[in-house]
Amino acid sequence: MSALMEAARLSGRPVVTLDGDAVAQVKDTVFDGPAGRVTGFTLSGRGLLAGPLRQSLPWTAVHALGPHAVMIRGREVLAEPAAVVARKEAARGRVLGARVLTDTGAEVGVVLDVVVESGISGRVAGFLVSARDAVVPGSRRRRRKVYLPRGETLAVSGRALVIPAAATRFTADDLAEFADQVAAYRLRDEKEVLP
Amino acid sequence: MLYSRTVGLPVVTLGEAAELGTVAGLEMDLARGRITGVRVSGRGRRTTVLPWEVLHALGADAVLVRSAAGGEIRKEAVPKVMGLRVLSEDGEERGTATDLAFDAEDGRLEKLLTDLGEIPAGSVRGFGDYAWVVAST
Repeated sequence: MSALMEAARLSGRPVVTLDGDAVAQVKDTVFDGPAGRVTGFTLSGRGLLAGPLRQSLPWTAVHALGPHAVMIRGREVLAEPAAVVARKEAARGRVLGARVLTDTGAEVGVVLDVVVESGISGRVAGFLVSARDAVVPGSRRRRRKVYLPRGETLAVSGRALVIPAAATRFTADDLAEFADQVAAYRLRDEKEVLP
Repeated sequence: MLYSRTVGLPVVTLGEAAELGTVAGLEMDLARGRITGVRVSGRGRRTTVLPWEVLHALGADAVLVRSAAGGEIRKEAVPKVMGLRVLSEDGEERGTATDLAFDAEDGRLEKLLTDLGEIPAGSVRGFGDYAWVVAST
């Protein structure tokens, strides 16, 4: 299982070629419509005064998403902004701040951030959610942040995400614990598919 | 031989014992795994690259060259080799480069030394303005 990271933390991460040159830094992470995968990154120049770049990085051109850098083969893989920005407007705005509902009709909370897998998968592992008390057993505070696995049957409609109710049993308080919970949840999915 | 030990050595011609300058840095070709030349300091930031082929000896106290001919002038600064971060191909930090070891006889790169340990030259993928890139293990 590859390490997990929050999409908000990716902003500012350097984009480095396999030749060791830093060519840009991540501005925003862009997801596909159902927020199941990273489709790419918008970029800005490196340094304090650098503005947005007229180039973007489609996920297909990423060599690896690492904890300290996004690795690419070379400068030539950067694409025109339209390659990812069109999808950004379609999806990104919808995911953050969206209400999370279970398929049994309970509201889990509101999406604060998207948790992605490191490496080459580009998969969204789950969400950081400002959770309502009801779905988080044992919590004394009214609301708190929890990590919630992204169910494979997830649907996105307007301002809400619908996840399987079972996913709420696999929440975690930090990313390390969340990696185990995501693995446990996937294992459970596989068992249910088998007779 | 260590990269750090070569920096600052006087560069002297074999025939006339003329001192051309001092070593500002080394040029390398990672794909071939070799040192390809010596950058000799000149005035200001300007350096002259002498190809490996004109070197007679790279010793502990001096670099002897057969001739200064074929030198190529470079205006850009000598790239930082030591103190540069090391990244794996997966985008994970692997410490900081402290030195580079090579064979002074044939210029073959041997290993990259880092504060976290040694990396064989065969695992080094790239060297740029931001980082050394090494194979993920």
